[in-house]
Amino acid sequence: MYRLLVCLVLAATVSPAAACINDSELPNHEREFRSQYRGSPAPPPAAASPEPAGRPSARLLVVGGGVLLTAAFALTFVGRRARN
Amino acid sequence: MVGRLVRAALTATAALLGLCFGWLAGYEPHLGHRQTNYPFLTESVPLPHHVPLFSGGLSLRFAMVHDVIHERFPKHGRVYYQERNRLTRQRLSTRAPADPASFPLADDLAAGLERLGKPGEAVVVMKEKLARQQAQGLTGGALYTTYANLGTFLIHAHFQKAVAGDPTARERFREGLALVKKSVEVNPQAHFGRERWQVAIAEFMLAAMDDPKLLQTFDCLGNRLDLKIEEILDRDSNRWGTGYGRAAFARPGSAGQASNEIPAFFQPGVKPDDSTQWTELSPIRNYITNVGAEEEWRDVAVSSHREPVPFDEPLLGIIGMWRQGGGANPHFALAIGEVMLRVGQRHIAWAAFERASRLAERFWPDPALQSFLRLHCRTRQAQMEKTFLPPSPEESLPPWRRDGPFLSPAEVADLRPRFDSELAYGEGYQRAYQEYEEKQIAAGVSITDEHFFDGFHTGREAIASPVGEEELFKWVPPRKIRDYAVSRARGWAVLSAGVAAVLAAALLRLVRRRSQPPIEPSPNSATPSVAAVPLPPQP
Repeated sequence: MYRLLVCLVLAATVSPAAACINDSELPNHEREFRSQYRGSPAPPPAAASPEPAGRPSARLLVVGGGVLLTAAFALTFVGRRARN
Repeated sequence: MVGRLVRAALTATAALLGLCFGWLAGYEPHLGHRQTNYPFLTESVPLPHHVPLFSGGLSLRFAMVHDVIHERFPKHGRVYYQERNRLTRQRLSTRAPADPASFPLADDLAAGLERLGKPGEAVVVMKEKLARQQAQGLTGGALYTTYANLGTFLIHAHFQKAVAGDPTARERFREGLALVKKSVEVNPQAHFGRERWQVAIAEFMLAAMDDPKLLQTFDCLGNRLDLKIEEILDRDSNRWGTGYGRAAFARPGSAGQASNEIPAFFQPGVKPDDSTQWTELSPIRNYITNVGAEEEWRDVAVSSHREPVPFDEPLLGIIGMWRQGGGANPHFALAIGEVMLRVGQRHIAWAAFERASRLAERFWPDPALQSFLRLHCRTRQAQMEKTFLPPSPEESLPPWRRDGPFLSPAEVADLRPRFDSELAYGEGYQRAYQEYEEKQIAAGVSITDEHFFDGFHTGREAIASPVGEEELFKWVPPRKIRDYAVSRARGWAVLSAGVAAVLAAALLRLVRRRSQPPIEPSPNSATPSVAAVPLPPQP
C-alpha cells in the first residue's frame, strides 16, 4: 500500500501525452492555425550567384567563332585576284 | 576556280575538325558533373512535405515546430473555460437530452472540464452523451467526437494511476485507447491524422508501463535514442540507407527522378497545398524522409505504428496535440528533437532537446529516468554544438562536419540565453492573452462575441514565426547542367572551328603563294624585257 502511494505521488507529476480535444472551437483554431503558416516563402532569384567571372560567355564564343569562320572563308575566296 | 574550291573544301575540313575538337574539349569538364560546381544554376522548389497527406489537409512548416517548442501560440486560460462551462450548462439546461443540438454542447462542457483538470467529470459527461447517441441509433462518423473525446478523457483520467501500477486504471486506460482507435476508424482524416498518433503514443506509454526501460531506448515514435549523431547527420553515408540528415530527396539522383515523375511539382509558382492539384502532386510525398520505427521497434507493443513514416505525419499530430490538447510534454519535445535531428534541422532539434530537458520531471515518475532524459538531451545538444562551429584548420573532419553555415563560438554560447528569451516571449504572450480574457469577462463581454479578442490583437505583432527559406529545396537540376554543358561545348566548338579554319586558310594561302611560278610579262607591258622583244630579221 505504501509503495502504491509513493508511486502515485511520483506519478502525479507525470503528464500523459495529452491529445487534442474536440470542441466547438477546434475548427476555428485549425482555420487560424492554417492561415498563420499558409504558403511557401518566395524563392530567391533564379541565379543567386553569378556565373564564375573570367569565363567567356557561350554567346561570346559563338560570335567569336563565327567571325573567325567568316574571315577564314574570306581568305580563301578573296585576295590576289587583282594581280592576275 | 577549281583551286579555290579545293582550298574551300580543305578549309571546311579544318573547320569541321576544329568543331569536333572544340565540342569535346568544351563538354569534357562537365562530364560527371557535381551540382556544387554550378551554384549559378540553382533552382528552389518547396519541400515535398508542403503537399499534405490528405487532399485539403494541413501541411507542415518548420516554423510550426519552432513555435510549439517556444509556446508561440494563443492559449485560453482557466477563467475562460470556467465562463465557457457556465454558458454551456445554461444552454444545455434549455435543451432536451435527446436533442441532437445538445451533443456538441456536451463536447464543449466535457472539454472545458478536462481543461480545468477534471477529466473524471469529463468522462461522465461523455458517457452520458454516448448513451444518448446510441439510444438514437447513431453510428459511424456521427460518433467520432464522442469516441475521440471519451477515449482521450479516459486516458487522461487514469494515466497517473496506470503508471503507478494500478491494474484497474490500466484497464480504463486501454478502454480509452480502444475508443480513440474507433474514432480513427470512423474518421481517419480528422485533424491532420492526429488521433492516429495519439493511439501510437498511448500504446507506447502502455508498453513503457510494463517495461520502463523502453524509455531509455526509444522516443514515443520509435526513434532510437542511442543512435549516434554521426549516423544521423552523415548525409552522404545515409543516402542509400535511412536518408537521415535531409528532409527529402535523400537518394542520389532522386530529385531528378522526381522532376521527371512529377514535373508539375517543379514548375515555378507551384501551389503544393492546392487541393485541386493534390492527385497530381501527392506522389512527391514518396520523397519525404521517413522517421521512427527504427531497429527493434517491432518488438515493442505499438501495433498501430510498425514502419517508418514521412516525418511530417507524426509531427503534425504532435503539434496538434501540443496546441489543442494538454500543452507542453517531455515525450513530445523529445520526439520533436529526435525527428528534427534526423531531417537535418539541427537548430530546432537543439531547442526541442532544451525544452524536453526542462520538462524532465514530467517524463516518468522514476527519478533515474528523469535524469536519463536530462543527460540524453544535454549529450545531443553538446554533440550538435560541435557541428555548429566551423572546423579548425588543423582538424581532420569527415565531410558531413564540413557543412555550413556555421556559428561563431559566441553565438553557440548564446543559444541557451536566446532560447530562454524566446520561450519567455511565448509564455508572456499566452499570459497576456489569458489576462486579457479575464478582464473582458470581468467587464461583461461575452466570450461568444466575435470581436472579443479584437482589442488584444490590435497593435500586436503576429505571434506565429514567419515561414522562411528552410522550407525550400535548393538544387541544380541535371537538365540545367546538361543544357549548360551543351551551350559551353557549342561555344567552344564554333570558336575552335573558326580558329582552325583561319589557320587552314592562312596556311593554304601561304602554300599557294610559294608554289606559284614567276609572274609572266603582260603583252601590254610598257617595258618589255630584252629577251621578250623579237629581234628584226638580219639582212
